[in-house]
Amino acid sequence: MEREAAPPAPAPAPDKPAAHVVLLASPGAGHVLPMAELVRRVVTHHGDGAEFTATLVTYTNFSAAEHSFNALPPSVSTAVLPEVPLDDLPADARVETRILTVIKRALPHIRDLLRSLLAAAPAGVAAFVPDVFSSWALEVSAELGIPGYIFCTSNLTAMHSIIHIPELDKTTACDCEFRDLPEPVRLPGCVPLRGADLADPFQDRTDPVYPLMVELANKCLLADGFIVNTFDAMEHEAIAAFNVLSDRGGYPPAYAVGPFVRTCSERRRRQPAGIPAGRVRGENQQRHRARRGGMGPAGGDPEPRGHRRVPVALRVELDAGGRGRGRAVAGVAAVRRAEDQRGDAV
Amino acid sequence: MLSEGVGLALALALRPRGRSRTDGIVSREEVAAAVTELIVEAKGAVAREKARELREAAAEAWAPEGPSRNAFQAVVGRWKKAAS
Repeated sequence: MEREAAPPAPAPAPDKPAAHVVLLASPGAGHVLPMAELVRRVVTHHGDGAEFTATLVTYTNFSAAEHSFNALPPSVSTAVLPEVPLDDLPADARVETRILTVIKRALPHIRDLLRSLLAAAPAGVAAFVPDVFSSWALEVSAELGIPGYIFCTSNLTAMHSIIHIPELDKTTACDCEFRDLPEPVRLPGCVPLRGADLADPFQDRTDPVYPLMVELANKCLLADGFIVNTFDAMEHEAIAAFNVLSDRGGYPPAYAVGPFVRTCSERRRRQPAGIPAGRVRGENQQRHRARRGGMGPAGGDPEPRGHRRVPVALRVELDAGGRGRGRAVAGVAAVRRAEDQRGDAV
Repeated sequence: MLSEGVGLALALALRPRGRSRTDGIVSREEVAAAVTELIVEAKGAVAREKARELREAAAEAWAPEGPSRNAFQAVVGRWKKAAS
């Protein structure tokens, strides 16, 4: 288990140790970056003076060689789960299948990590917060008596549609794909969703990823609460209706805490040069260097300045998809073309 | 959701690929038409206005006593209670 700092950070006052929170981000910058923003807010925005320390946990699989979170406050430690083997998966397995397999296989490592944090933190672990993909980990936190909360990096309609899938699965004939449903899926307070609007991994019920997604949805319900990157003005009715369902006891409560966005200038100021990125960036960097002549791989600014504005999330998601379907490969090619054109202009 | 529920976005048609599926790619012509509509034309004005409103609402959500900040304090408050 690789640790970059000794968790937890020293408590502010010796008589009142800081509460410790553990957050788990599944592979892909679309999950890692909002999770990093959540942890930043957990340790800096607190109500009446009580302090939190935190450990942000990431996976080795599908991640860049180095996760660098230079912009995180000092009270946040990071931990990286050991790599798990995936050699047995078929070559055409979807990227979601690969990611969810990593998450399931890494559960023993999460158990070890949570145990060691429980032993080390003076006040125990107050909460464990995986994102939606890592919902299996809630079984581990429940087993250890740690309250578990899902962080949904998307909106509440997305979260609600995911946890509705097991029901939809039961009530839809086996040979009917959701995109062929005659009626839209109506969730309380949400825009009616055409079956085709449901997330891609739900669209082929014969694909191995489908039962995994149904399992994921069921594990989400183990949570003591959903922390959702949405806000009242965006989904007022969806939030209100979900709270009614939750009060009746069917679902965990949802906390609409978004939007976790930053202005461009803030992002540029805070974003470390080594933000987790995938293969796409690495290759392009080398090409840029070659063009500009003589800058070694270890030297200086890793990218020309303006390039940092290209959404890293996009590149990493596309990179992850590159091993999967042709669509993502085409996307990577498009990004590469765009980068090459910029490279020429440098 | 963003196009129909919030009125913030315009939906793009995916390029068809055989049978009933698409290849998940939106053609450049489709993107160009939608961007023009969103930025220049009258139809995009509604989305532009909505974007302005949501930008302000997003800023207010995390202002002191804003709804998102309050929700955040509520969940963090539960953690503090669990820890003490």
